[in-house]
Amino acid sequence: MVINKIPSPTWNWLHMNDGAAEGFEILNESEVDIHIPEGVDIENGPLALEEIKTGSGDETDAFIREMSLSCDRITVPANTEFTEPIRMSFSYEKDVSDANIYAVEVKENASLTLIMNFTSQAQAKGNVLSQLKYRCQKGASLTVVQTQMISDEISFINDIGGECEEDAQFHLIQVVFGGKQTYLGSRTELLGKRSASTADLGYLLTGSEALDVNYIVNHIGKKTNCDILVNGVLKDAAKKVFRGTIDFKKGAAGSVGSELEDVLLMGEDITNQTLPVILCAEEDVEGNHGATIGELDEDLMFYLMSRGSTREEIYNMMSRARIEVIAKKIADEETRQMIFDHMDEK
Amino acid sequence: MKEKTYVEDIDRSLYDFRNEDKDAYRLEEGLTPDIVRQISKEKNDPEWMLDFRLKSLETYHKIPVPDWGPSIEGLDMDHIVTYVRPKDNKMQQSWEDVPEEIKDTFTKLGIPQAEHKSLAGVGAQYDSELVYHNVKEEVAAQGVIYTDLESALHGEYADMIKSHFMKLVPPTDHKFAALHGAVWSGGSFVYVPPGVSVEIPLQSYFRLNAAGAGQFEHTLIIVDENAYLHFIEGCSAPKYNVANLHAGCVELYVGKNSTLRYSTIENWSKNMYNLNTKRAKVEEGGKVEWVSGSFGSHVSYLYPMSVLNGEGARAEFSGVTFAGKGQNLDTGTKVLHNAKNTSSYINTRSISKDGGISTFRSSVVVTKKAEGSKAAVSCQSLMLDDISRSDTIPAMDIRTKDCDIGHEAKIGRISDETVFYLMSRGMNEEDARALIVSGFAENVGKELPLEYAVEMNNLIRLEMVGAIG
Repeated sequence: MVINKIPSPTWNWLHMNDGAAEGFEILNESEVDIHIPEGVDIENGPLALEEIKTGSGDETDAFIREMSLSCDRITVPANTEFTEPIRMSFSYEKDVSDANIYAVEVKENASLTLIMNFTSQAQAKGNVLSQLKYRCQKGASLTVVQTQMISDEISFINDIGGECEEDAQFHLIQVVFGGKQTYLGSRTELLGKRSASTADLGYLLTGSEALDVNYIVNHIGKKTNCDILVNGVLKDAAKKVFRGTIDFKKGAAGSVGSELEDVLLMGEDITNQTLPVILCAEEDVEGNHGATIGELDEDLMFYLMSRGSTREEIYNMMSRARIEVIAKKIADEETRQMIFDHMDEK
Repeated sequence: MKEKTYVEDIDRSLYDFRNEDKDAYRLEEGLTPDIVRQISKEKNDPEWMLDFRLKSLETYHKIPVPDWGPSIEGLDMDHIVTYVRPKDNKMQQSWEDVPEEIKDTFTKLGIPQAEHKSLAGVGAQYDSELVYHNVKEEVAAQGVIYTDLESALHGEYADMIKSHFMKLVPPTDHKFAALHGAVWSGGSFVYVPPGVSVEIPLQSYFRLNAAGAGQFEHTLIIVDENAYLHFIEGCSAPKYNVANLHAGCVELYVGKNSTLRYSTIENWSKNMYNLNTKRAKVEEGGKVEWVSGSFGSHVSYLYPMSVLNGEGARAEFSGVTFAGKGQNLDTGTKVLHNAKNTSSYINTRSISKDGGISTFRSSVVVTKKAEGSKAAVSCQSLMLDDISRSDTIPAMDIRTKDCDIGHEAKIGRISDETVFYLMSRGMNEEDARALIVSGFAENVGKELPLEYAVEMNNLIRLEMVGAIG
């Protein structure tokens, strides 16, 4: 299955234009421990918001249809703001071949936070697929927080796609630990005037864990705004490819888009691939991207070592700091603490 | 409401003149083994070269057209003439002996004048043949070889050419490298001996006059250890209503502790498909400096590549691309860090106007053995109106932790405040915008010899005439 295909490809010999999810087989719909605040509707039924495109792409959609999976449709009524989030906990044991499909509609001027925690037993192995489609109506806001702490024998497709109407906002925060092969896809259509999105990703990969990311933001409405921040650490023989596309469509006057990636390399056999793309068909826009990839700066090392820290301590501190920058954007204390605890264990 | 005015097309009379080619010898259109054999016969190739050409042709037919860049559907190889020999084509060492019409062409382009004033040697190619080649006596006395590649294939450097020709850019590299291997003709060979510094530049100028033809010159430069060379490449063509093709190839070998600067002002006509390949291999302590201005062509695929193969090897790339009406210019660079402590710096500017499309595309690959390497990429794009397009597609592939890689890119428009400031100092809006764009492209202008920087600024000014928005 071709997955996470970048909208504007480059040289094929780089092998960065897309990913290949091999051998995926889904048999079950995930059991989930879910907590829903009162007033939010959830209903299980056929696939919904099918017209919405996702970051993983059309073949993932086709795969989901082929598996005849059902969808949990979550509706947030207009003019309601929920201070309490929806919490979903997915826990995988032993052999797993699970999927969960969600469609979230946030009506006008409503606001919701959705927290999804994916965890597994250390020995668990298999395939997991999660797909979330959303539509934020005028003035609505949706924040999705996802944490992934799964074994390095589980392959995971985590696919998101949605639309923001006028003045709507979508915020995505993802923290990734573990996973044999993780595919993160996210596609946001900023349709309405002044709509905005942010995507914050923190990851720490060890062993031979691999992460394949495809973030796409399409600026269609005027004065739209997006911000992508990716902080990561690669240890041992971990692999990561990050594709980030900001696409200013004609007519998106006054829009601003920015993406920033910081990768700390700590392993002898790491592979880091980065493809940050800006596509622009509109004159009146500002687009920026930047990336810093490598070891810690020698001057910084010297300074910290002169203060009594060992090289290992400094690297652990700095890798933790990169994840903390992302984790601290999560408003929910319980989720933040779970991330910090997991880092302590790592 | 703000008004915008556009010029329909650009006054390119400086470059857009043509000669009748009724007396020229043209092979038939298309690409067949027989045509390749005829080119080889015309060129008096050694036998190995004929074999090489025919194998390249087979490779060409096996490789698909790129599926990631601008469309080249308008290029029909069945209607491209791959070899055009001008009348009285014998290569001369004096401009007086060059046929009048061809000499006039190069005089209008300012080549003999530039040779007299500021160059150590000049090669001038007209369609498929070199018509003039000369190098100053004092430079030749240093042991510098600057000659046409075809003569060199039969002289004392024949073995050196055989061991280097299309070794850096093998015909299997991509479809148009294979095409080049099959039908190449013309081009220059330069050899700079160890310890020799060529103080003033050499220049090759390529002029494609024939309609519906291709130009496939091959430039091979070998700079031996502890040497220095600045090589300038220029090119232009008159505009026709049929597609023309340029699929040249440049191979640069930069020896230990040597420096090679390769400067190009590309100004092909806007019916040209420019599918050129340039590559440099840099040994220990060596440095390659690419200075590249892309202004012409209908479609360009142009990505000079630096292979940093020796410890401490360095590469710099300074490029500016200006895409106007009817142009889709896909340009950039590739760097392969393949040895310890190598470094590269990429600094580019792209300008899009009047419906033009410019794409900056790059790759920085750092292999596992390139420990201690550093790379910095900076690309900036300027949109001059809302009917144009500008994309940046930079890729980085890093395989060692012991490196320091930085990348930054910006895209935006000319600030109204800056235009207002310049106008408040007495400039009209057109001049203010042209000045801002010239300044934006200064990364390349400051790297060029003065005469060429002036030419580049003239090109920018020509492109900017009437582009008030």
